[in-house]
Amino acid sequence: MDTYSIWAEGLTKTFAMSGGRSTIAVDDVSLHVAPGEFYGFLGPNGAGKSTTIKMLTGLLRPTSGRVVIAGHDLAVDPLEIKRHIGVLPEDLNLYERLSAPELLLFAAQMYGIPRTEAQRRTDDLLNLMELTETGSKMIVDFSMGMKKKAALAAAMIHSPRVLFLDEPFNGIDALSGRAIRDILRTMTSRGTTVFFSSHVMEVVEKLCTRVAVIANGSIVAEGTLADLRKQSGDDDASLEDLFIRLVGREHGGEADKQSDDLRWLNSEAETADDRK
Amino acid sequence: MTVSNASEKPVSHFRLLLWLKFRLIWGSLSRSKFSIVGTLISALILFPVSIGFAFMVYHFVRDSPSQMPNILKDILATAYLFWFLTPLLGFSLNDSYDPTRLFVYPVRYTTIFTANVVGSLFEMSTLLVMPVLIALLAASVSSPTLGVAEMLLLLLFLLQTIAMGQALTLALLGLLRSRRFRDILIVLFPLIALARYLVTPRNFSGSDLYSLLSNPAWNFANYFPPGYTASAIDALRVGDWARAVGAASLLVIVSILTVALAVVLLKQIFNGERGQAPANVKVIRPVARRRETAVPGRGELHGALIPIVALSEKEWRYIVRDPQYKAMGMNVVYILGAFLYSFSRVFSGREMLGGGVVESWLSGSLHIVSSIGISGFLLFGMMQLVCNVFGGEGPAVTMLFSFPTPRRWFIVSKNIVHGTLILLVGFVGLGVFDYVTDGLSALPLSFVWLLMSTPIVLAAGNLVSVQFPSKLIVRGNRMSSGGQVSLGTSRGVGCGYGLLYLCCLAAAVIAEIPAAAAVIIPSVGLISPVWYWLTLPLGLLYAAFCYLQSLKLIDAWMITKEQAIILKLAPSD
Repeated sequence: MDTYSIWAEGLTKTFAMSGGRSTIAVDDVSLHVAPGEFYGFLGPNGAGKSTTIKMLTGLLRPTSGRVVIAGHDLAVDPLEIKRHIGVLPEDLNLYERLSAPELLLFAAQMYGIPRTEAQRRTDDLLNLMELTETGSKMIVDFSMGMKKKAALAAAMIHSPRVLFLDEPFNGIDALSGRAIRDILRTMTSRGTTVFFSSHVMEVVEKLCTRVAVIANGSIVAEGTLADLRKQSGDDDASLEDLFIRLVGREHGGEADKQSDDLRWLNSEAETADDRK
Repeated sequence: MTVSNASEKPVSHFRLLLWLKFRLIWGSLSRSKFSIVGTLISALILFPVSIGFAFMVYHFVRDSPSQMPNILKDILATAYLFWFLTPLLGFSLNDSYDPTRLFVYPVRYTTIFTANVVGSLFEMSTLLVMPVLIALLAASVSSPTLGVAEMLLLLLFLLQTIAMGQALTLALLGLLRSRRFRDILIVLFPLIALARYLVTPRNFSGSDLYSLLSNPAWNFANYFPPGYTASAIDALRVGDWARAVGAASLLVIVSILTVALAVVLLKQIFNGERGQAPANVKVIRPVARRRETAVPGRGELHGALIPIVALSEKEWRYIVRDPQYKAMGMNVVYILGAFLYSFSRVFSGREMLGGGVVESWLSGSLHIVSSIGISGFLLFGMMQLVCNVFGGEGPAVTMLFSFPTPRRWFIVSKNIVHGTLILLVGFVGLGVFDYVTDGLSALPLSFVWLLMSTPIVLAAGNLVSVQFPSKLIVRGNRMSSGGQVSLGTSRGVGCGYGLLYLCCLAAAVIAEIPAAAAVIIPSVGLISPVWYWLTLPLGLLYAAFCYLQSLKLIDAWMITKEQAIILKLAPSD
């Protein structure tokens, strides 16, 4: 397991519900990601992607299972793991009353980077993310895309060995998206592992060396794009096709029944046709 | 497939909107155990107070019928000001007060408006006013016909007042939604309250109720609906029909105009013609590239000091910029102002009260006891800061806990900043007290007491912070715990946490007994003041011991509580 950047076995998270019931958000997930991999983590809404990322990054305690990141056991040495990882959560959760330079300087120093070096990295990242012009404007007044870029910069400032990115390209314009993709590629080529969840299949297809698909809390497929195509028996299938097949299979034959049940959605159009 | 039961009538929009209003009120009052407890506490306090006040008003009007016009006008004016100021101060009485959320549905804006106004009649704020209005009616009505007429006038007044609140909310929608406006209000509101406290006529004493009721300040109400309503009711009572018709007509006209204005505004917002937040036209100053200007060595700290300094800097910036800290700061300013005013009043009335008694009470050994009491008061104003050190982080706590810094440094950094603030505020507060009471010689001893008590209070607060974290969200001028979003709903959780913080202060007071003894015993003459050389260092050692013990406990607790704190402050969807 020490040879992997991310090693997780039997990761399970159960949430207590009202009335003494419980729901399983993540069920027996195992992941093995090698150093320098660009690992895509796909799944429909509510599949358990963010919960898994939170467990991998120590922000949520797993009900059971074991996580080892960069050779350190999360249950034994969570702080050492946090030294080596960068996290971009889906809901960002930034210090919005700081300006972007203040946030980056703060984040760098929290990782123990001396001030001069922290300032240098802050300037570089602000430049990369095109946030230099924001000056002293507080993050609370930023647009969603700008906030995301600030959060991403804060996650990268300590040059982490493993980068967890939850929907990093949501709300980011094409130019910044390209710049971020390039920097992520450079980072992986230098050995950084990127664990990356996204709904945007084209981006995952372009960037990721391997993907895992999660549905209803369980991994339903895992491998390179070629592996997934081989499993599906369709060598020309796009990742989106493969994803829909995999996730659709999980949902069983409910789609047809739903389609029948939802015929009323066309009622207005049908009524208009009938009138004609 | 067609609709299964075509004969079933759809629920009317009006009924649906009323249901929504009640559901939102109920949902926010019962959203958590804390809010249920808090709501029960506030209901048990506020409703009896309202009913008690209503009884008082009833008997007062029965005993002094001549005061009826004044008391009616004053009460109506107070209610009017409440509804007038609430939206201006950034509050909404509950979630449903923003009707623009309903614009996505095919509902007429007139229905939205009517349902909102009618639903508001059943809000807690309205219900609290009702007993007083009923008492006024019961005490003054001489015949059933007049009773009905007066009731109709009061109902019209209520509707006009609520409609006016809606119109104001709608007219200022863009401004009210802007962050800058809310940030300014945080500071402005307590200053207004303080100014009111200071400009209260000094010649008025609490025993002179008549002079309060007939104070000329109330005359402003003569030109507004409270004045028209009071005048119409008074005229009905004395049989002055011409005045009654005139005042009632004015009330009707103003009500119609208010409703029309609110409807026009609502229509404009509905059509997308207004209600946008003001454009941010501030010119952004680019940050100069600092690589060349950075001074090497300034921040070349090592080890644990780097994150401690970074976190302290962040905490300080937040204290300067974040509304919740401004609100807390203004609470303390308010308390200081109130103290200053109260003591100046006491001393200006020495002769009247028997100066000798007051002076002897505030002099000598008892002076330090009074200082201890006052520092307790000031500390209570800061308990939301002390007992909820992670509360100000909000969802950013996720970011905080993703750093590899030992958790005790989080607490220590925050305590450094908070403790410095407490010491500063306490020093200023006690300085003011000592100055006003001619006891500046006691200031050094008071400050040593602060040095002892602050770590103990911080220690108690740290323990509560880890065990009972709560998210703080600022709406309007007030900071509240639990993430509530509006005035009508914040009472519950806020009361629950208020009680918790009061218990924490009480526990801290008990823990402070040895430190207090170190200051008090030599001062009251039980032993020679020379003993201060022993008792004060011992007291300081005891305070440091308490603080270090709390850090030790927190280290153990954080292993299990870290994720729970994240879940509390940054709940997942």
